[in-house]
Amino acid sequence: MARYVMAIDSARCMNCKACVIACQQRNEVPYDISRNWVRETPDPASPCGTSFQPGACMHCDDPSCVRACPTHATWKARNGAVEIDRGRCIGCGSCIDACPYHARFRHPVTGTADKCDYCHGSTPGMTPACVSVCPVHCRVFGDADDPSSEVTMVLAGHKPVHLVPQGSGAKPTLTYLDATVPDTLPAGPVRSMPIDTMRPMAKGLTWVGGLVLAALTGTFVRQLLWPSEKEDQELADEELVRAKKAAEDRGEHRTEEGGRQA
Amino acid sequence: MPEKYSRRNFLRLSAALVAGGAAAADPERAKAIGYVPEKADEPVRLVKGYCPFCQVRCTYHARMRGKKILSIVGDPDNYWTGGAMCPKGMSMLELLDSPYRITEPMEHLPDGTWRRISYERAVDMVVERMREVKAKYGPKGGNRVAITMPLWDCFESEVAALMALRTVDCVHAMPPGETCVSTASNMLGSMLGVNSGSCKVDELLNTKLIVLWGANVNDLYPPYTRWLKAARERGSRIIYIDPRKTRTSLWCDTQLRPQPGTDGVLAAGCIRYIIKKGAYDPERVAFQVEDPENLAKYSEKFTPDYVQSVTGLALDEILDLYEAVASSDRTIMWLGGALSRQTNGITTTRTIILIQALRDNLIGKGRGMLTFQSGKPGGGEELVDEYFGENKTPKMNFRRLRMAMSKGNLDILFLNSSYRRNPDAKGVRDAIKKVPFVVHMGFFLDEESEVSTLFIPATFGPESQGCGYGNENQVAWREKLVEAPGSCVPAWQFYRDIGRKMDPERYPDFKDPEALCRLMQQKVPSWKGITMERLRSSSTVLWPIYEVGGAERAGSVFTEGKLLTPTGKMACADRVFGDMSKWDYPKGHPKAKGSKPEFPLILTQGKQLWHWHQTMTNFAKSIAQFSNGRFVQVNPETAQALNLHQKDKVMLETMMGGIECWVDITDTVLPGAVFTPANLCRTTPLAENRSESICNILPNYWDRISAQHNCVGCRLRKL
Amino acid sequence: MIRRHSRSAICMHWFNAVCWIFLLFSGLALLAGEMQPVGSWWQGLWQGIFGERGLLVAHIAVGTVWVAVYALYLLVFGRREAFPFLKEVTTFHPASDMLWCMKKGMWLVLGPKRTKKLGVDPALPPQGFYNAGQRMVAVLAVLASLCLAVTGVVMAFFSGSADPHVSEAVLQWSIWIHFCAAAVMAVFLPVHIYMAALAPGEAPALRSMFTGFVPESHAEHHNPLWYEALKKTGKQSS
Repeated sequence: MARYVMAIDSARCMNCKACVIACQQRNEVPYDISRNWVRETPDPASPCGTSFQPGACMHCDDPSCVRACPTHATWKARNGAVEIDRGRCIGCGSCIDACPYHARFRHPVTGTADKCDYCHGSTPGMTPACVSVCPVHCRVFGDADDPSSEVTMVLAGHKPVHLVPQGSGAKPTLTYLDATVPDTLPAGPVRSMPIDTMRPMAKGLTWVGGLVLAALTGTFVRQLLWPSEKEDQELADEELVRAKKAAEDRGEHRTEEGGRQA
Repeated sequence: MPEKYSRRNFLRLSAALVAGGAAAADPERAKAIGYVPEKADEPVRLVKGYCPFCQVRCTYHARMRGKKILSIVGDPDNYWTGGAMCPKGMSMLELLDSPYRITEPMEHLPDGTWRRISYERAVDMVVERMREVKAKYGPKGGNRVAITMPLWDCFESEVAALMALRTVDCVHAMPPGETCVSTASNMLGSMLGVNSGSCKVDELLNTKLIVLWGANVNDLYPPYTRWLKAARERGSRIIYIDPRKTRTSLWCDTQLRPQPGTDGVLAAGCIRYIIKKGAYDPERVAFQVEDPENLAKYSEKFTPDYVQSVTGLALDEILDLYEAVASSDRTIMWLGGALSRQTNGITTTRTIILIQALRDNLIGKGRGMLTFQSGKPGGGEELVDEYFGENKTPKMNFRRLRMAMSKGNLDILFLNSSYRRNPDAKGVRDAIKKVPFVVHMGFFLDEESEVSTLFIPATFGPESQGCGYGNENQVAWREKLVEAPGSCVPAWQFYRDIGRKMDPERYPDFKDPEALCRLMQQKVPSWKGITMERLRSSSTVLWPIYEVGGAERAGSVFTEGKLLTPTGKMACADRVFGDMSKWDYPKGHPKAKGSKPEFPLILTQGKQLWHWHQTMTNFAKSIAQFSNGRFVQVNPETAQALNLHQKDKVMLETMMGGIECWVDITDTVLPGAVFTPANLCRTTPLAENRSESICNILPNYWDRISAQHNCVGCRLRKL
Repeated sequence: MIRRHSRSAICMHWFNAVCWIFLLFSGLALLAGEMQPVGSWWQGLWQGIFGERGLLVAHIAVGTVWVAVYALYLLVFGRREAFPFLKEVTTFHPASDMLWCMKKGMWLVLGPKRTKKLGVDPALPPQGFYNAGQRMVAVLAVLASLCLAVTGVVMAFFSGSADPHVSEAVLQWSIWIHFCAAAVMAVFLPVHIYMAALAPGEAPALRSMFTGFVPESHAEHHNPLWYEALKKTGKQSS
C-alpha cells in the first residue's frame, strides 16, 4: 500500500499562484475559495521582503477533522490521504471548524466539505494539478514508501519540517524541506459545537444502554427461574389459605360460640 | 469611481449584453464562471493547445469531455516550459465562458447605443467603406487605412489581415513594440544585426554569469524561472539589477537596486572599470567594434564615485558587479523592458551591449543578449507579397498614425490591440475618435469598443485552429477544440471574408488556418520544413527550417563567428543620440533638466505577474481573486515624509493628471520612487481589476524610436 | 375476548417495529470513532453488509419510507386513531403513575414476596388502556419520532446541495438532535420489548398485537379502569 506524501520546498516558491488556479480548475472549486494556498508573511530576511509558503490539507496522521466528523464521511485512508466521501457528508461543517489549518471549506455547489484530495477525485492516477503546474517544481508528491520515488529521495536529502499550530496535536504529513516561514501557526479555534458533545454522549449511551440491557437480562433470568407470577400465585394461595383459615377459625369460633350458645 | 461604475457602466454593459447577445444569455455558460458539475458519461481525452497570452507560448494538454474543456495541464514535453503554466494562462478557461463576453456583432449608433447586426452585414459594412476609400483615393487610399497589432488568436490571422489591407494597397500594420521593447530591438538590430535576443534562453545553462538588467523574469515569464533555476544549479551566478524587489529577487545571487533611470551610468562605469583593469582582449574587441579607441574616452567620467553618486548604490556593490562582469568569459545579459521605456534607454542599452562586446561575450557558447521579445517567426509578409506583389511603401509608425488620425487623414482603423498601452492614452483616444470608421475585434465592452463604430466578436484560443509563435522563435500548433459562442468569428475568417469580397482574384481562398499554413510551407522557404505533421506531433518547432526533415537551429545566432551587421561590427556611438558620455536622466525624471519641482517622486509602472493584458485578464474572476485594485507602492521613508499610512487613499498625480490609488507601504520600492501596476482597466465589472489606465497620466516622450514614459515625476496627494 | 387494537394499528405497530430496529441498528453503525457507542465491530458488521455508502443509502431509504407511511397513516387514520391515542397517552396521574412504575419494577426484580417483606403492598394501582410505563414510553417515542423525522429529512434532503442552502449550524444541531433522540429510544426500546413481549404475564398482550383481541380476564387484571369503562358502555364483549 502506497503512503502518499507531499513535500514542499517553500524557499523556492515565488507566489505565482499557478497552483491555486490549477487546483480550482481541476477540482471545480469556485474562484473565490480554494483548496490550496500560498501564505504570504512579511519577512525582512527574504530577498523580496515576503516569505511564501505554499500549503494545502496536511493529510494529518491524527486528523482532528476526522475526529470531528459525526457521519464518518471523512477518514484517514491507508494510502496516507485524508479522504472525504461527499455522499456521506451532510455538510455540517464540524470538520471545517476542527481543522487548525483551515484547509477545509463547504463547497457552495455540493454543499459538502471539500479539501485537497491529491486530485484523486477529479483525475485519479494523475499528478496533482498544483504539482504539475509549478514553474519551479517546489511541490513534490509521491509514495514515501517507494524508495525510488522522487518524494522519498527529496525527503531523504532534507530536514523535514512540519507546520504544527500551537497547542494542536495534529500530526501533519505535508512536509516542508529544511525550513519554512512561518514555522508554527497560532492556535486556532478548533472546537466544533455541538458535535463535540456527541463523543461524551456516545460514551454515556454505551454505559446506560449497557446497564439497561444487563438489568433486563438479569430480570429476564430471574423471572425464568423464580417467576414473580408464581410468587403472586403463592401469595394468593397463602392469602386464600389464610382467608380459609381465618374463615375456619371464625367458623370454629362461631361453633364454639354456637356451642357455647348451644 | 467604483460607485460611478456600478450605475452608469453597468447599465451600459447590460444594454450592450442584450444587444450583443452575450454569453450570459445562456445560463449554462454563466454558471461556467464558477462551477459546472459534469456528468461522467463520456471519456476524458487530452488534446494539445497553447496559451494565447505572452510570448513564452506555453503549450498545454486540455482535458476534454465531449465539446467541453474540463481543465488544462501544462505540456510536460514542452522543452521551453517543462510543463509549467502561469495563472494568467489558465484564466483562459474561464474567459472562454465569461458571462461578460459579447458574442454578436454590433454597430455603434451616434447616440452611443449599440445595435445588433448580422456578421454578414458587418463584413459588408467594412467592404463598402474600403471600396469607398479605394474609389476616392485610388492607390493612395492605402495611407487612409491602418491596423493595430497584435491580432488575436494565430499567426494565420495576422497574415489574413495583412492581405486584407493590401486589397486597398495598405501596409500600415502597427506592431505593439513601439511602447514595448522597440528601443532594445533597434539597438540590437543596429549593433548586432539581429533585432531580438542573440540566443535562446537555454543558452543560460552554459553561462558563468547572468546579468538580469532590469529583466524581471519571474513576474513576466513565470515558466522561465526554471531556466534561472537550472542555470544556478549548474553554477551560474545571477546578478539582478532592478530598483524594485520583485519575485526575481528570490532567484538571483545578488541584487543591485540603482535609482530608477540611472542604469546607463552603472553600465558606462562598468566599461571604464574593464578598460582600466585591462580585462579585455584588444584583438577581439577590434574584431567586433568599429572604434574601440573611443570606449575609454566616452567612459572616462564614469568613475565608481560618480556611479555611486548617481545610482545611489554602495561602492562595494558596484565594484562587485564590475569585477564579476570583468572576470566572466561566459556572460549573458538580459535586457529588461523598462530600459526601453525611458528616453535614455538608447544610451543604456547601447552601453550594456558594448560591455558584452568589450568582454567578448556576444559570440559563442554561453554568451549573448536576451530580451523579452526575442523572437517572432518571419515569413508572413513574404507570403503576402507572393499574392499582392512586393511592397515598397514604408510603414507608418504609431506617431505618424496618431498624427494622421488627429488631422482626420485616416478613414478606417482596425483597432485590435488596446490603445491604452500608449502613453497619453487620452490623447490617443481623442485621435481615434476623429477616425470615422473604427472596427474593433474584441471580447468585452471595453475602452476600445467605446471608441469604435463596429464591434466584431472574436474567438479565443482553442475556439479556432492555427499557429502561435513564441519568444524562442518557436511555432506551436493547436486544433479547434470548442465551438465559439454566438456569432464569434476567428480573425482570419473576418479578414478573409473582407479580402475575398474586395479582391477575389488576388486574395487566396483558404478554408481554415491549416490551408493557409500549408500555403506558407509551399511558398515561403523558411517554413518549408515546418510541416503540419511536425507541428502536430511535437510541442513546438523552431523557425526557420528550410528543408523538410531539417534540424531545428538552436544556440547563438552568430553561427559564422561574427556579428550580423553589414560590417560585422558595431559602433560605440549612435549616429543620432551620440555616445554614452552624453548620458542624462530620462526626460520627465524629477532630476532631469527642466522638470517641475512639484512632482518630486519617480513614477515607475509595470506588469503584475497575474496580469498580461490591458483587457483580457482584467475580466477574469480567476485573476481578480489575486488582484487588489489600483495601489501605489511607497517606501516607508517616503510615506513617513508625506505622512501616509497603509491603505490611505491618494491621488497619484503627474503633469498629465491624476488617478486615485490606495497606498501600499513597502520597502520593495526605493525611497523617492513609487510603483503602480500597468494592467487595470476602467470597464471591467470586477472591482479588483478596475481603474483608469495608468497611461492616461503618462506623458508621451518620443525618442524617435518609440514612446517613452517611465520614470516621470509624480506626487501623491492625500484624499 | 375484547378488541384492543384495530387492524391498522397492528399493521402500523409492526411496520414501526421493523423500521425502528433497522434504523436504530444501521444508524448506530453510521457513527464513527469516539462517536460509535456500540463498538467498531458493529460498524464493521453493518458496513460489511451494506457497504460504506450503501449503509447510509439504506438508512435514508428506510427512514424515508417510514416517514412517508407514517405521514399517510396520520392523514387517513389521524382523527380516528392517532388523536385518541395521543389523548390517551398524555393523560397522566403523577402520583399513581409513579407508584405503578415503582411497584412494577419491584414486582419484576424483587418479586412480590420480598416487596411485601419490605412493607410495601405489591398491588399495582389500577391502570387504564395503557399503563403508566406504556404512556411514558409512548410520549417519549412520539417526541423522539418527531425529532428524528424532522432532523432526518433535513439531513437527507437539505444537505449536500447549494440550493436551498441550509446553514452549518442547522445541520450540526440536526445531527445532534437526531443522535440524542435515537439515544433515548435506544435505551427505552429494549425495555419496551421486554415488558411487552418477554415479561411474565404479557403473553396475551403480545398475542393481541397480532390478533387485536385480549381475553377479558387479562384486561380486567392489567387494565382495570379500561375494563370498567368498557363495562359501563357495555362494549366489553364482542
